[in-house]
Amino acid sequence: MNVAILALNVVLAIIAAPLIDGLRRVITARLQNRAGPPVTQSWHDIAKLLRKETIPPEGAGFLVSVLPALTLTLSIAMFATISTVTTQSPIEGGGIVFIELAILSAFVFAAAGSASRNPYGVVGGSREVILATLVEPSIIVSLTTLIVLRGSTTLDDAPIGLGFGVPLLVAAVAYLLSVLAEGGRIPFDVAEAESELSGGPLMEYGGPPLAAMKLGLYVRSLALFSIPKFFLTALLPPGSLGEGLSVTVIALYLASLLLCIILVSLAESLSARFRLVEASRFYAAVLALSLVALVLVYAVPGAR
Amino acid sequence: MSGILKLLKIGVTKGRVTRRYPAERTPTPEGLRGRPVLDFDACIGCGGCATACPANALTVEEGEKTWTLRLFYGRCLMCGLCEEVCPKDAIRLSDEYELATTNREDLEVELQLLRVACSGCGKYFTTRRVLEETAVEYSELAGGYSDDFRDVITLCPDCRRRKWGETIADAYREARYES
Amino acid sequence: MKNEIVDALSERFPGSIRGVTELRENLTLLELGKEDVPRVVEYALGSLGGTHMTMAGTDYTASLDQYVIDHVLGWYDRGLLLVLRTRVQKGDESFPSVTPLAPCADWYEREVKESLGLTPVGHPNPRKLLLSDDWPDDLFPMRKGFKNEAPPPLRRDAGFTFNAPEDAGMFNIVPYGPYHFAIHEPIYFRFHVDGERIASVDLRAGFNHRGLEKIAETRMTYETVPFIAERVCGICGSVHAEAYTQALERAAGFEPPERAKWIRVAILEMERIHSHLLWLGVASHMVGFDSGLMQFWRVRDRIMFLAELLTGNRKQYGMIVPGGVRRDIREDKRETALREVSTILREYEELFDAALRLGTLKARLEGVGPLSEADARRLSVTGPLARASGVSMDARRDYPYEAYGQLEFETPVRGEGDVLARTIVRAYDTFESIKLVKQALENLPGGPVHAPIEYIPPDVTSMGLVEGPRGTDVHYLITGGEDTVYRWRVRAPTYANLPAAPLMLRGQTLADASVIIGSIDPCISCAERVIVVDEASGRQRLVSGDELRGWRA
Repeated sequence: MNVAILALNVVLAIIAAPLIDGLRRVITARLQNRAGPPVTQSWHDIAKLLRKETIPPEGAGFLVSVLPALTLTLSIAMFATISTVTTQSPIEGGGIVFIELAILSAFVFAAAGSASRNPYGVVGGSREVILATLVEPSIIVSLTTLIVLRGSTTLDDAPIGLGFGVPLLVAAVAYLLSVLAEGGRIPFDVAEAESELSGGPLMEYGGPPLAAMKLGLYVRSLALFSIPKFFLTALLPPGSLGEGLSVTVIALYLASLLLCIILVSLAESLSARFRLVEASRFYAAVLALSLVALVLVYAVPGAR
Repeated sequence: MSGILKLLKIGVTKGRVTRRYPAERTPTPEGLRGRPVLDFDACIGCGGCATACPANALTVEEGEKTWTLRLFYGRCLMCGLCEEVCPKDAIRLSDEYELATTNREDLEVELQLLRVACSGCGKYFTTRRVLEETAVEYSELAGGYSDDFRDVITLCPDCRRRKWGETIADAYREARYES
Repeated sequence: MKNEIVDALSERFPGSIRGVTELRENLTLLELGKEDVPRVVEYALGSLGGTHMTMAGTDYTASLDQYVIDHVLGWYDRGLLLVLRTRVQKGDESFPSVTPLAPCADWYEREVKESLGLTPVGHPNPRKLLLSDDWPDDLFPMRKGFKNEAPPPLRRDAGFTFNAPEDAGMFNIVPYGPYHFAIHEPIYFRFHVDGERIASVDLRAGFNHRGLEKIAETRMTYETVPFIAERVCGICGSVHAEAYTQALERAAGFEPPERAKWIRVAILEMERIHSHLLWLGVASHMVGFDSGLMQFWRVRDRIMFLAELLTGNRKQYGMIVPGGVRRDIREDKRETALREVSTILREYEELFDAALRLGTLKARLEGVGPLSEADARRLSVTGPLARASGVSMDARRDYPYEAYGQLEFETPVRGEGDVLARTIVRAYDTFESIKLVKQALENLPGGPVHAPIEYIPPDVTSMGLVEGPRGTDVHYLITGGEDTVYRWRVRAPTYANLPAAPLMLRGQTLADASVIIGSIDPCISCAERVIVVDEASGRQRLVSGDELRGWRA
C-alpha cells in the first residue's frame, strides 16, 4: 500500500468534494437564471453544521451516533482503491473493493434513516434501499466491464493503449447514467425528496452528525464521478505516462469531473422528480444497457 | 424532449435575475407605500390620524398639559389612511421599507405638543396649535382678531357654551327692553 | 322574474316555508322552521342542483331572544341566491343537523357549535374545528356577550388521547404537518400509510385562526373592515376586500363610479395572475421540478412590480374600499402597465409551453388525486378544483359584478378531475386573466374613482360574491348601526375545498400527497378566520378517534 498516495487522495477528496457540490449548485442556478451561491458554499455549510450541537432523536438507539461517521468513513475509504491525480492507486486490485464500498455506503445511509425512528426517515430509508437494489447492479456491471476491458482489477491510470470501441463507449454511457442516480439530486432524489419527505433519511440529523453524513455523501459522489477518467486514460498508449503526479491525468480527471457535474446539473434543472415507479423503469433500462456492454466485450473480437 | 430543450433555452437566454442586495437595490416605483413620516412642525394635534388608523399603530395620549401622538411601526400597515385624513400634510408615507431592527424602541416614534388652559376655568383642553389654527380660521369671520374675539376663542367648549348662553340671554333681555 | 327555485321548494314542502322576502334582485330569503331545514337543504342541493355557498349563525339574543342561522345556497346557472333562514330560541340552543343529509354543511355546523353554542343534533363529528382543544367548552366567542379583552382560562386537563381506528396496527402513521416543508401554512394531516400507499387521512385545522370576524364586529368601522379583510389571506386579499365591499355597497343600494369598477377588475385579475403563477411554481416544487419554481416566480415578480407601481405595494394593495378605489391610475402608469402586461404574457406563454411539454412533469401530475364530478358536486367545491372535475362555475360569469358583464373572457373547464386537469385549468385561467387586465386597462372609462356612500341602513342582510383564484369567495353581511357591521361571515373558497382532500388522498402514494393537497391551492389562513386565537399551550394536540372516524369520507 502506497501510504503517500493514500494520504494525498484522502485529503484531496475531503477538500474537493464540497467544492464539486458547490459547482453543481452554481451551474444549476445559472440554468435557472439565478446567480447561485459562491462555489465554496458547501464548505461553509459543513463548517456551520460543525459548530452546532448534536441532539439525538428521542427513542433512537446508539446507531444514530455511529452511522453518520460510518457513512463518512466508508466513502473516504473508496479513495483508497483508486488513483486520483497520480497514475498509481494506493492499493492493487481495488476495483472489487470499490464496488463493495459503494454499495455498503448506500445501505448505511438507508439504515441511518431507519435508525432515526422518524416515519419520514423510515420511508426515506426504505426508498433508498429499493433504489440501491436497482441502481447498484448497473454500477457493478459497468464497472466490471471496465475492469474486464482494462484486464486488471486495479483502478489506476496505467495507460494500456486500449482501442476505442463500441463496448467501451456503451459501458461508459451506462456508467454515466447509473452514476447520475447516485448523486441524490433531482430527478433521482427519491429518497431525500424534500418537498415530499422533508429530507427523508437526513431528517433527524443535525449539527456534526449531519455534517458527517453530508460530507460522506459528497465524498461518495466524488468517488463515483472519478471513474469515467479511467475510461479515458485506458485509451492512452502504453508507457506514455510516468509514475506519480501527472498533468495529463489531472487534466483528464478534471474533464471527466466537469462532464459528470454538468450532466447532474442539467438533469436537476430540466426535469421533475421521479417516483419509485418511474425511477425503477429508468434503472432497469440502464441495467439492460450495461449488460449489453458486458456482453459486447466478450462478443466483439479484439475488444480486450 | 422538446420540453427539455425549451426549458434549457429559457435558462440560458434570460440572463440573471439575482440582485446582490443590499449593495444592489431593486428600484422602487413612485408612490410606494413605505413608512409614514411625521412632520413635527406641521402637526397641530388634531388626532385625526389616530382615529383613522385601522391597526392602532397611531395612538393619542392626552395628558394634562401635553398631547402625545405615538406611532408604532410594528403595527403599521402602511395603508395610508393617516395621510389621507391629515389636514396639514403632517404625516406622509415615504418610500422607506427597510424597517427591520432588533431593537423595539427603534420602531416607536413620539410627538408631543403642549396644550393650553382655558381662560375661563383653567382646564387644559386642546393643543396650542389647534387653538391657533382655529383662531386664524375664525378671526376672518369674526371681522378681525379683537380682544373680544381672543377672550372667546381661548375658552374651552364648556365655558364657550356657557358664554354663548349668556350672550343669548343678554340679547333677549335687550330685545325685551326695547319693545 | 319568476323564481322557479322558490316555486319548486314551495311545491315540495307545502307549509314549511313561513315567509318569502325579496332582499334584492336574485337574492331571496325564505323563513323556515328549524325542523324543516335539513330536508329542504338536501332537496335544494340534490334534486334542484344547487351549490352550498355558506352558512352563518348570528347572536340576536339581546334584541330578539334568539339566534339566527342562515344557509345560503346558490344556482350559478341562473344567477340566483337563496337564503334559508331559521331561528333558534334562547334556552333551546340546538337544531337538527343538516350534515347527515348534506355533507357540505359539516364544517359550518361545527363552527356554529363551538363559537355560538348551538348544538347540531345528529352531527356525526361535532368536534372543535377552529378553536384549540384547551379552549373552555362553555365559552362562546361569537356571542355578543363575549368580550375579547383577555385570554380565557384554558383547560389544563386537555391532554390528548389518540384513538386509533380498528385496523390501525397495520399501518404506519405519517404526520403531514403541522409543519412540513411542502405546505406554507400550518395544518395537520395525519396519514395512515401502508408502504407508500395512503390508507386513510385525518385532518386537524385551526392553527391560523385569528378571530377576524369578532374584531370586525367589535373594533372596526365600515371603512376599516376592508383593511382587515385584505389580510385574511396573503395571496387573495383583494378578493376579500372586494367581497365585503360588494356586500356593503349592495346593502346600501350604492353603485360605485364606472371607472372604479374597471379599476377593481384590473386589480382583481392582477391578483389572480399573481396567485396562479405562485401556485404553478409551488406545485412544480412539490413534484421536484425546482426549475419550474424558479421560472414561474421569475415571471410572477413582474406582476408584483406592476402591482407596486399601480397600488404602492407588492401585495395587500389597499385599493378596494366602500365607495370605489383609493387611487386612480395615471395615464403614464397605465401605459407602463399595458407594456408590462404584454411582456408578462410573452414570458408566461413561453414558460407554460416549455413546462407542459416536459414529460417528467406530466408524469407526476397525470392521473394523480382524482375527484369525480359527483363528489365535487356533493361537497360543493368551487373554483379550479370544481372546474377540473367538470363542474362549470364562475361567479364573474354567473353572478356578474363590477365591470365583468362588459368584458370578454372564457372559463376553462376540464373533465379528468386529476391534478393535471387542475394545473391546466389554472394555467388557462391565467391566460384569461391577462386578457382581462389588458381589456380593463385599455378601455378604462373616465370619471371619478370614488363616491361617498350617503347612507347605510342597519339590519340589512347582504351577500358579496367574488370569483377568487381558488374559487368563489362568499361574504355574508348583516349591517349594524353606528358605522359597524353586525355580522360578517367570510367563507373563503378553501373552506369549501379542503373537505375534499381526504377523498382525493385515499389510495394515493405518499409521494403524491404534497401535490394533491397543493392542487386544491389551499389557503389555510382564508379558511380559519373566526374567533380569537389563544396562546399555544406548548402541548401537542392530536385529533380524537371520533374525528378520525368522521373523516373517513
